[in-house]
Amino acid sequence: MLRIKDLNVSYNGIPALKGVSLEVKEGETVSVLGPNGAGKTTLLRAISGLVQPSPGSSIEFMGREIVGMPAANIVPLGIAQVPEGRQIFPELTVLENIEIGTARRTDRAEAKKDVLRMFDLFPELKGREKQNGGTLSGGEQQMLAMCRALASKPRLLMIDEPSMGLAPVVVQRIFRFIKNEIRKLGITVLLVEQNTALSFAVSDRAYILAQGQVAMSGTVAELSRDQRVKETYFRGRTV
Amino acid sequence: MLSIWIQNAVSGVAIGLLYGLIGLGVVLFFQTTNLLNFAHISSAMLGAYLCYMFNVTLHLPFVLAMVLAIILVACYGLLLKRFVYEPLAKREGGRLEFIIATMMLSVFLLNAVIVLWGGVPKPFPNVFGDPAKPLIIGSVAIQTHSLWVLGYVTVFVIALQSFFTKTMTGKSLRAVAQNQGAARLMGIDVEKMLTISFMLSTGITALAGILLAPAYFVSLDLGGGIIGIKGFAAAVVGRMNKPYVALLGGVLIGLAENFVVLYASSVYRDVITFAFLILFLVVRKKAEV
Repeated sequence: MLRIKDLNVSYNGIPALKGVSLEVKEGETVSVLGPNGAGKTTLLRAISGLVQPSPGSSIEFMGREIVGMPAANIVPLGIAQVPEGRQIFPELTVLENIEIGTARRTDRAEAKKDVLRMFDLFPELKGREKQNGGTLSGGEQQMLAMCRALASKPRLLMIDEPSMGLAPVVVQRIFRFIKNEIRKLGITVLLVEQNTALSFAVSDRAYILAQGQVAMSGTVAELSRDQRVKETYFRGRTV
Repeated sequence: MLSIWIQNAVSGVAIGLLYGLIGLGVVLFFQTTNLLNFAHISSAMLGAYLCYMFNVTLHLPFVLAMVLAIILVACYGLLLKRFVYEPLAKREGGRLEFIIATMMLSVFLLNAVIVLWGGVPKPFPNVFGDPAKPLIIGSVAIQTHSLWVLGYVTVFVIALQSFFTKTMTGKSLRAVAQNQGAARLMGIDVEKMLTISFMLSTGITALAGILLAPAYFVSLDLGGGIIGIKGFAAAVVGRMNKPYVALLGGVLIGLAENFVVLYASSVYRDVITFAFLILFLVVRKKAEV
């Protein structure tokens, strides 16, 4: 579904991604792990068309080259992102936030129904439709950001650090949602996360980025057995 | 005494709403572009002159003349984006470049108007009723112009509010104003939204200019200086991010003006009004922008 080859991105001449190649197959949940500054968020920004990769980079989605496409044309292809830090619209109501997710859909009648369906996926947001997004708690905002992205009817959902700054109970809720509900919807997931244990629990495969390069990759089972991964990412804990 | 109070209050609110409308245009523009357009008030002048041309010179009905003028000024907003904003943005020009460019543009437009229509103020046709025949209720005399302004602004604000809350374009504009990056991630065409906000802010200001013309004449006053500053002041009262508070800010300025004239003198009108505004900014709790 998503095939990235030799992706290079630099900010003002400083390389952030160096020759990253990565593949996500339809129906999979794939994690991208790595420390701060490894290039995880840059990877998602490049896919969403927010940063321009260097020449020679290739990002293919459903067999179509998307490097160089303006960001506005990426979402209609079926790629949605739940950005780091949620980034909901604070002074749009909960309902309007979700509606914005459908901004580029042409099937307006179906889109309207999908907006309402989101409240069944996250009943926590029911009854809050008219409230401003900014008045929600961090966890509720994360749920809202997920709904907003899902409302665009994506084939590929990219989720950036969903656990950041949230209470453990809420984190569990979110990850259970990723593992069960999103899979049931048949949506492919590319997950960026710093918490290795959590992302392994919901993913089929993972890529580990370090200093802008893919350091390791494999199925979750393979990686959890790998001594280096254990030492670096689990610090002696067992998975 | 009470009747004079009421008369001044009504006309103060009416003129104030128009300052507020100019301020609302400033806020809408600033929210999406994060820029100040120093030629903002030129749109008021262009609107008034174009409306005058359509209505008086070309004998079109007033409402049609007004609509045509507003559409033309909104198209000028489009050109402003295409030929001033975009080249500057492409060369990574910042706020300062845009401010200087629009400052020069406002001088250019003033002179263009002098070339086209001459510098002598033209009386606006009495489409809002004869100023010599106010509406008399008991001992209160109310200018029909004020009532027309109240009507137009009310209808306009209702229309604007439904645009922002009922249409996807309106909601997308608000989303862009609140978080441009996230709006881009939702697939919103931010460039298109910027174009719309250029057209919206110039169009709104043109409407304000047309409605101000009966009070200020169709004159160069509409395109520079004091009225523009009052619009900006209204925007600042709205903290540059609350369009409707800006509208209210304009009303505040309009009322202050009228009562200064009533209790002091018209000579001190602007002095006292602006002193009041400076005081307002100084004592306000939190600085903004």
